[in-house]
Amino acid sequence: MSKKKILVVDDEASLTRMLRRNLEATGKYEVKEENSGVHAYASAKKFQPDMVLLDVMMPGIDGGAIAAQIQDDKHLKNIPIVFLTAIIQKEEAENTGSNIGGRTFIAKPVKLDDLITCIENKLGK
Amino acid sequence: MRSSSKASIHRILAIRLAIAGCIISVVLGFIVILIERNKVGEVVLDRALQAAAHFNAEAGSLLDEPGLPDHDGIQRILNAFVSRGLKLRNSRYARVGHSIFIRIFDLDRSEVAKYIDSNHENINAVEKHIHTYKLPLPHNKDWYEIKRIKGAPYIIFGVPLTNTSGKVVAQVEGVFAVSSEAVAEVRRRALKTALIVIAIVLVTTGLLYPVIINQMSKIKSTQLQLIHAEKLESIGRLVASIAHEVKNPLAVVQLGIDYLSKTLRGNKDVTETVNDMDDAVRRADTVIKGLLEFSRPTQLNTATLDINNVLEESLVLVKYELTKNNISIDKRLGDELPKVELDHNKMKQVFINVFMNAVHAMGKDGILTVKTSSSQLSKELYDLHCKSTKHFTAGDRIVIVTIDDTGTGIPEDKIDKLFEPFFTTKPTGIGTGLGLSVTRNIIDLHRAVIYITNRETGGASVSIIFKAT
Repeated sequence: MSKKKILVVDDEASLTRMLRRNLEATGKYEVKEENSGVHAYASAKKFQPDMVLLDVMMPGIDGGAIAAQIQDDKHLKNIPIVFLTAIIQKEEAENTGSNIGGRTFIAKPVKLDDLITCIENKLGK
Repeated sequence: MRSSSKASIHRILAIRLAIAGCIISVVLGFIVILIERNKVGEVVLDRALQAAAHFNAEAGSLLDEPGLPDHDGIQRILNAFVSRGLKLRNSRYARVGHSIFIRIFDLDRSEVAKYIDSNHENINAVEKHIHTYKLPLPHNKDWYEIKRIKGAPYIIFGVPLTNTSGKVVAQVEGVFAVSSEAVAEVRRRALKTALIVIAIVLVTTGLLYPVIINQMSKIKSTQLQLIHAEKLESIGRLVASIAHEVKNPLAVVQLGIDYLSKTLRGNKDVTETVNDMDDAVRRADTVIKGLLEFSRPTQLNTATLDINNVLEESLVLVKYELTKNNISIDKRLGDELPKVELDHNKMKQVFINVFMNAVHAMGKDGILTVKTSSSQLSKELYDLHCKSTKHFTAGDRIVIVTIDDTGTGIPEDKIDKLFEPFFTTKPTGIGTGLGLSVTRNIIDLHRAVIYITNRETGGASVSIIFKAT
């Protein structure tokens, strides 16, 4: 089975590194890190991911605007996006992701198992 | 605002008001005394000058002849002048005026007539004074000075006598004095007036006391609420910013722990270490959660609910803690309580918070009593706890939840601070000092009231009053 490609966008390099290390350790995913929100859309076009994990608050451009860029692109618009954010509480979002206003949110800090469950749900296992 | 702090504000305001009332009364009284005292001098002066003017008018035609009239003529005019001056005796200050020493001089400054009223007690002293005033002649203008002997005022005056052509031909010099008896009477009168003023001020203050206290209390209460709100707002901004900055590194640590726990599986010490780290991250996240809940304005998702059900559900969630600490539950839930508009989850959070505080206060062994009842809001309860919220009116149908513990109770000087952010009576590491602040925020959002008292039999009692729907 081919590995699913996940683009991880967060200005915190240590976090994207940790996400990549964890997800790639499962053997199921190929992860690309992007630490610049401004370059996130270009990275998505180039990497053609199966899913995007997106931070919300980033310098230069926020996660919502990046999501809009991706969804406006006819080649990328069907890629599922999960917002990984510190601005909501776990109680406001289920551990494995919550649909808030049509978008999926996971609250930081997230446990790996919860994150993987969320990713699998989004990718239809 | 809590009842004890309200009572303390009332006490402070009452003391301030009483002090202000006394100061105002004394100042007004003092002013009245001064005014009355000066009036004596003014009256004496006015009468003396009036008499002098009269003398001039009477004597003017007689003085047209060359030289002064004969001694008898002068004396007659002088007597008329004196009797005019002594009309003071019929004035308001009946015994104030004593025309005690009047002399008429010709242009050579030879005394041509005089009048002495020797009844005055200080006649000698005043006479001595008058001799020191020798006006140059001719002196064209009325002249006077006010002096005092032993506090009693007297007027030394000089009036030129002119003939019909306006030529000065002689001069009247004299003294109008006031007896100490008259001064004493004036002082009595001044004191009486001052006492009346003081009484009026005090009675008015007394009558207005409830209104003033109420208004001042409202102002004070509003000030405190504003300070509280401003404090909350600034703390909120700070907390939201800190929380965001802390959660990102926490996320890194959490994922790092997850990575290590998977890659270093099998080693007992490593597993234990990783588990401890995992627990530490969870605790840090809980603290941040508390901070955010406290700082964030929250919308309620309310429904019309039976408060007993919410309490039962909350008790289930703390059952493990209660059992672990050998704490028994005494439930006295009222039957057929009116429903209340509640946010189910938030209210569970409130009850769990209060229950857990009770558990911490009791330690091992104890009784947690949970009571609910419904009644009409009594005037006493309204005045004590509900008045400041403006959400209640005495007589409202209410539902009261009371949660009692058998713990150590709360020191009286700490009760007012319990709802303040970051205040905790728990040991370091056990409480964040935000639990009751969050609780009160939620209660405020429900337009309900929460207050804590010490029980007479020991332990603390938390009461929450809801308006029934």
